[in-house]
Amino acid sequence: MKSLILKDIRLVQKTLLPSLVLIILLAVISGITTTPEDSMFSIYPAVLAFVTSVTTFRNTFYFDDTSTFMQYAFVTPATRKQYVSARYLYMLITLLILTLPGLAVNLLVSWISVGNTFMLMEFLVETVIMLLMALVYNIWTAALAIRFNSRTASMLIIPILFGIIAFAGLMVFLSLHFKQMWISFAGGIFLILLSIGAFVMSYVWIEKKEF
Amino acid sequence: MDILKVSGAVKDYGRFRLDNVSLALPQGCIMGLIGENGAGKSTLIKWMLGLVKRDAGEIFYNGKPLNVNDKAQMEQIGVVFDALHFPETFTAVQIGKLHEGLYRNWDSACYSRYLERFSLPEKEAVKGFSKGMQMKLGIACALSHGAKLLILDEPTAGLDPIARDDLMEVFLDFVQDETNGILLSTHITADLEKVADYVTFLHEGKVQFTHPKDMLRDEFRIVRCGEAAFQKLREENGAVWRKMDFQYEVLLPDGVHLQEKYPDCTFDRPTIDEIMLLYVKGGTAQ
Repeated sequence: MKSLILKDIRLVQKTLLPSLVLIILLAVISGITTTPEDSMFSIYPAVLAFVTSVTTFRNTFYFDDTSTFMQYAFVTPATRKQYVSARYLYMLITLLILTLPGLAVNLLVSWISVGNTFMLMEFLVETVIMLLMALVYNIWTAALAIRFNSRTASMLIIPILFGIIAFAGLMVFLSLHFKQMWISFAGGIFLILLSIGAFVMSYVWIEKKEF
Repeated sequence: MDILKVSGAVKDYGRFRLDNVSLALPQGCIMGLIGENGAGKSTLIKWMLGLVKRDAGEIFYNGKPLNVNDKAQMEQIGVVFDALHFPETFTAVQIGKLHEGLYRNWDSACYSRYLERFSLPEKEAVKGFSKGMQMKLGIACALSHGAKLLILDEPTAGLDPIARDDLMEVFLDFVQDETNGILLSTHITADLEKVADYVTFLHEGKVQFTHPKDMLRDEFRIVRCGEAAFQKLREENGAVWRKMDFQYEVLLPDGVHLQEKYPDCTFDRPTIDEIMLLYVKGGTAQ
């Protein structure tokens, strides 16, 4: 499984490394410029981490589709379940690679520049939100790429993403309109359950996949 | 003992059906799997390796049911498809490292020896490799983890005669160990004339025959004759035939024994290509 993860990291390292450098740079700027009145800049590193994570994750499926590596992997001792698990582990590792250095740098810079952790909290909250979004998005991408292929997954994920955003918006609207916050929470839990469902289905679909 | 045995393999796609295919590959042997495009060779290999759902049938590796989730069994099977399945930006060294993690018995020294034997550059991305180099790399990988059984799907397609000859030598070396075996699917029957011990012919998803290659060479005959002799042959022998411009060609599985009976006909030793051609394009006598 380790070699499957390393294979993916090797495949995307040319995209991953420049993004990481840019994220760290943005984290430094964010640490210097963020104030309680203006914390807008702190979102950029998190957004870049999200975009890099979802594009590189999708690309690994694309690379496997074009080289038909998946078919080859399944005639080696690697099992289908291991292949999917390696994918998810790779995703978690890259998400950590893309977020932890930025957080550390932001903490350091904000402490040195203004001596408080307000900027770090802003940065942290935005990073965690983006991290969760990337997690959900990637799980859906993986499930669809396994069920169909990377190209179809790329096409299907966009309407699904907009559907999720619309659904989340509707839940927030309903919770505000009826003054019932539990509606928003229920919506959130529903989306989490859907993602868990996609995660489980990725393991079911890989077992049924034919070549 | 059979290193590989397939019994009653069925895969139904609707438009195409792999129909009750059975074969047995004894240890120490090379079996050639031949057939026209779409005959079901690749489907059979995918069926064996669990890459498609098996509708029916059983497969045994060294007498035990082959389970694709059994790591110990899959360690012992080397597979080469008709194209390289690795990311094109990878080098031979990186592909070796990838396999090192996949196979417990990966032998890096053996892999390096094959890279050297095949004159493959270690640090050049495989996208720059010719087709022949790519296939050699695939074979180097299949041979570097202590495999006992090689399943090769068109490994020599697109290779020049010299590269093919090199590979045939490698295959013959491999079966020097009499516990090993090779199933070799190919269009290039000249390769099989050199190395195969058995030939299995698939046509429209069905096995037409499985015979030792020597039997095809020593006992099968193509009879070339005129109309009258053809009618006689047709009545007396079950055979496949086709009409040429000025004569008939009749394939007789036991032709070597019938030469004296038909003195007016020309009996020739058929090549595997000719046998295949008659089965695919010919008619049946009965």
